[in-house]
Amino acid sequence: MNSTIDNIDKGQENVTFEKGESLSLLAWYRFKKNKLAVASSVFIGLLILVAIFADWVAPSHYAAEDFMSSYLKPGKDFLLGTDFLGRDLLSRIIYGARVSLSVAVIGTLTSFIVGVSYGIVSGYFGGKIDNLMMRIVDILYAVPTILFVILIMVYFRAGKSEEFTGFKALMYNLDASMGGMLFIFIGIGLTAWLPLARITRGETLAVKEREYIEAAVSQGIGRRRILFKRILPNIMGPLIIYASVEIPTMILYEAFLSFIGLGVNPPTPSWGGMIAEGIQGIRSYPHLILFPSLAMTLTVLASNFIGDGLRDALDPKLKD
Amino acid sequence: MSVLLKVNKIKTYFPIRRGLLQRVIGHVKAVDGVDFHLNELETLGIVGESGCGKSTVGKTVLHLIPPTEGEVIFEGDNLEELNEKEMQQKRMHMQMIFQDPYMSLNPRLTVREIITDAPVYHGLIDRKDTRKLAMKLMDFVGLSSRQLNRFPHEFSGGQRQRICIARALSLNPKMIICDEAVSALDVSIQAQILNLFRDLQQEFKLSYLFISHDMGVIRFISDRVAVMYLGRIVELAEKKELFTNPLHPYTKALLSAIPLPDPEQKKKRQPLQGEVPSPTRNYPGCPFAERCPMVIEECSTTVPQLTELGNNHQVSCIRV
Repeated sequence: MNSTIDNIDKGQENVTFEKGESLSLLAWYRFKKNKLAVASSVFIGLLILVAIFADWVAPSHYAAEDFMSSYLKPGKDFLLGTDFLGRDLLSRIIYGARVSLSVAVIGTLTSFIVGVSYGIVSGYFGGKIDNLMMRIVDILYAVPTILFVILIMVYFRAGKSEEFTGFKALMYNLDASMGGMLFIFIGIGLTAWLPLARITRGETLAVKEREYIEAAVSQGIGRRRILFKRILPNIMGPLIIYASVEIPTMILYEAFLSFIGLGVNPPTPSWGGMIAEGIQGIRSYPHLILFPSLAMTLTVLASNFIGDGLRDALDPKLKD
Repeated sequence: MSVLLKVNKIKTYFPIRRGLLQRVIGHVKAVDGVDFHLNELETLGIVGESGCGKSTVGKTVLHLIPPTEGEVIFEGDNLEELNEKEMQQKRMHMQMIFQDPYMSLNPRLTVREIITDAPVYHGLIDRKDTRKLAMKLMDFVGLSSRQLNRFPHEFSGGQRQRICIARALSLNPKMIICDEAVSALDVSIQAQILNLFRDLQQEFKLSYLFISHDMGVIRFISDRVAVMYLGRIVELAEKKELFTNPLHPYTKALLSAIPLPDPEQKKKRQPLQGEVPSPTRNYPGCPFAERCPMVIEECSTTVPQLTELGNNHQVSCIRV
């Protein structure tokens, strides 16, 4: 019955095929040409390695105190000096990278997964579902994030931890075992996915009206396959661009929380927390604030360059 | 000759919504009671000005847009009564080729994936046979099968339209709806593609519903021709009959607008005044009345019906 398929020629086996260049491959070529973005990627890559292998790279443990050598200037024994408890600043910056980078990676990843799946469902099904889902997003947008995070922290952290029970105890212990990062993730996770959900919905609305989607429907291809195999790859570009531009914001958000004392638990080092500690002695010991700030600035700058590079590579129309 | 497709009084209205509550304040009557049938191995041309609803007819037949009223009967089944699974199966037998070959190919897929995705999805072929099928179909439509791993952006407009044709053929359809399938192409390429359509009709035993605004294209490809105006068929006849003996004043005007290749030959033109009126209005009489050179008083009060005048010639005009 199926004449097209039954009599497929058998004799065409040894043909050499021309290689096609996919849009992603072309984007990669463009990204490779951007020296700043490539250098930044190398920098961030090294930073990630350093953070992972901090136990081997750092000269000492981040909490190793030495009261005889507090407030030392940068020198031979302590490359970047020591803080008010005599802890090696370089080691603390290296360990601090863990916090900043995990916030950047986990924050981006969760907000990407949640935001994209939410937005794509909302955009694809449209109508009443879309309306309801987007109103929920609007409501969450109106919640002041910082206030919410502060409330969470006050609720879960205030009081004697030994007396906590049930859910509160579970959350407290989980947070403590992560060095205080859990609530930062919750705070970021609560809001960071909202803009991504909106962008995804918009892109989905645009792409689902394209003729190649209509063509897929007219070929009898099912909804789920169209959603994941046809629509998703075509909206990925703008989403990656947005997510990568958001990374620096997340690093700064964590630093801000740590700076006002709502971040990770001491003695776990975080760049924001170190800046907060250093600010007390800013006149006499400027190196205490200089080096963590420098580390953060470089990281944020590098992620910005990567974001710009990705934008130029994935959407050449936007360049300049 | 048996009837493959029967379209009974289909109406496709798009609601116009206004205001905060999205109240329906009117309808765009894109298709307003269209009746025709398509025989096996036949080509029915649908011709009309832009905005007359000819593309919507095509999409309604495929139920890409479900009709507001009326029924589409394909291979004896009323498409309205099929559930989603049956509809997906049915869609394999009716394919569509779109106007813009730049919009109707998914930019993320290789030609091989574009052509073979649907047959694999429907289980017509094994995943390992995709290369053979793609090569075979590319040969059929006149593309070098060595290019099967290339992406749509690496092809020219005419080549892309050939890919679209190969994609439509991949499911071994009975009917292909060509929606302005050659309008976006250069005239020389148009001729090649039209010849390809003709050859494939024999090879694959196809019926075409050929939608175009170009009288020359319609004359070349069609067996029968339907002329549409403002969502209705005003005249339907065998090609020869229609081109030699047009009865409806609108058809006459369209035919007189075909440019002649002979500059010596003087021709009496009947240019139409004005534009296609709004499809949102209600017409108490003939919708063509206000542009018609033969208009009489009765035209604005009597709705003309498509009537058979013998010789398979149907006209919708009270003056004929």
